[in-house]
Amino acid sequence: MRGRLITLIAFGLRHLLGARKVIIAALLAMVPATLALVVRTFAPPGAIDSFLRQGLPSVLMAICGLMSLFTGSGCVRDLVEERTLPLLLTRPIARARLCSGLLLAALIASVVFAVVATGSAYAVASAGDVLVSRVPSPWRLMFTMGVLAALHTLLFAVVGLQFRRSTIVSVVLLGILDAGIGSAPGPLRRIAPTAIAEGLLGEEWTTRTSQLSPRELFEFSEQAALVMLVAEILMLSVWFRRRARRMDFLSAEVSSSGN
Amino acid sequence: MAETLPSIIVCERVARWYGNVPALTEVTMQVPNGITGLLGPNGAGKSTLLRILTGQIRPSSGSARVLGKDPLTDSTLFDHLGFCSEDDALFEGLSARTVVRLLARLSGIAESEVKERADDALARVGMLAVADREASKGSKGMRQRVRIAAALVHAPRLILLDEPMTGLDPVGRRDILALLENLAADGVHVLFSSHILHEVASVATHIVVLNRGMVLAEGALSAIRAELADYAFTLCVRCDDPRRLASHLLSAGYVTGLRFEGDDLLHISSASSLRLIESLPAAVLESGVAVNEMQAPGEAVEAVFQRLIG
Repeated sequence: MRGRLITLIAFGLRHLLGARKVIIAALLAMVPATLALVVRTFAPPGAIDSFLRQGLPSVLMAICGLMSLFTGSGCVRDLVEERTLPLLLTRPIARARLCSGLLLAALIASVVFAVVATGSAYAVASAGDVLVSRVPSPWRLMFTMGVLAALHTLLFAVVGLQFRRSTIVSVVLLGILDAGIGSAPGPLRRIAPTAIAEGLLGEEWTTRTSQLSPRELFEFSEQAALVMLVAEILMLSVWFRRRARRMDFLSAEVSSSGN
Repeated sequence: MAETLPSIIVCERVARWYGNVPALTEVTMQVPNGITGLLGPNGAGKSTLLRILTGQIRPSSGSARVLGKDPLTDSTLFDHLGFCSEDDALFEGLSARTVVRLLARLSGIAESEVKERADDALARVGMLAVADREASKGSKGMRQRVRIAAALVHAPRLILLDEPMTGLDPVGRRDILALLENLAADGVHVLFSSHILHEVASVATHIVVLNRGMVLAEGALSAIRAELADYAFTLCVRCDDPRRLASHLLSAGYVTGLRFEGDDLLHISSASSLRLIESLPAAVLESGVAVNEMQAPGEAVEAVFQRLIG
């Protein structure tokens, strides 16, 4: 059974990387490094320090959300729309396991994209001796962005199973959750993946939101962020598994064939 | 008789609705061993039924069991079941060989056997020579063969095929029909859907006629035909004076249509095959025409089918 799961993950990765969407995701992954290059080339001395410490986490959060949108929402839904899912469904492998294999492939792709985007941006910003002050090491930033990408991917994979127009729904959800709830003060913002990421980043890294709003309104300790992260992963995993086990998400596609 | 054979598929009052539109209406049927043809016009509900039998969609009501298992909940069924859907989509960027190997691995075939089994399946559908071409960019017939190979690769006991001859040229159709017969000879049970009647009649030992989501008839073709001995029928008569023959037939109450083709061909349509066949010789004698040839262009199965779907 493990062999089938590995085959599924390999297939899922190949399918994701062969899709046109991956070009957009790859371009998005280059945006933070490009921005860093622009800042260090054209901005006055010292600007790259504040960009690295304050601007980069915000940019990465937005980029990770968008990249995960392309990998997560289509990991199962694309096969439904391409009408190739029946080829996999009619194999002796449980549907929940089948969808989980495809999701794992999407998670791997998302995390790799997030880590590459983070690492390359950090490397471009800090290479040479342009920094005038000490900046934190990149490991926590890379870890947090990987976690954020994984959480977004799981969320969008659930959306992909739940809705036919999953990309549009995911964009709207991303806007509401991260740009809306995630930027607003108050306890509700703790459900936003970006707020969880801010909590995990700790005091070393500063984001745009944490500068703009009074800290006490949405203070989010690392422990609380970790608890919320685990709770959301569990909830989304259960939801994903339940949707995967039900087959009704195919019905809309089937009815369109009229037979 | 079909009823005495063990059933490989049992449907009990299976219904499926898409919103307010019924695709299947309380389908109850039993499919025996051998080759079974699922016959019906487009929109009859054939694909919906096959999707239910392969667990891709759940019935709105009723139950289906395939090889004694519930296709919705028991994924081990697919150890013994192969399915080739009507959709001719294949994974992009993969060769025919890679697709079949991938699906062989997902079927649980040991890695040491995957290559051999995939090549065997591809050879069986005549695709081995072009197995390294990208499958999704091939002709419709090529894609169809690859999907049939994928359905066969794990040596299933039962194979379901949804319109397997669609998109194939006459030679390809003949090859697939021969393949179905070979599979049956090897002990594999086959259920395939088609709207092309003579194809079903040529290989199927059992036929299920489906229309508007309902089973209209089920059994051996001869048994169905016997139940409907008197059916609508069209006969083509080639003679030296078709108009004179037509004038003698016009007064016959059982003739519903006459059509001339060229100078020597007359198509006679009748609501009653028995009365037409019984009365035509007398009409020919009375008219004094010389008949050169007679044939039923639609074949008996066509007439049975038309009669059934009304």
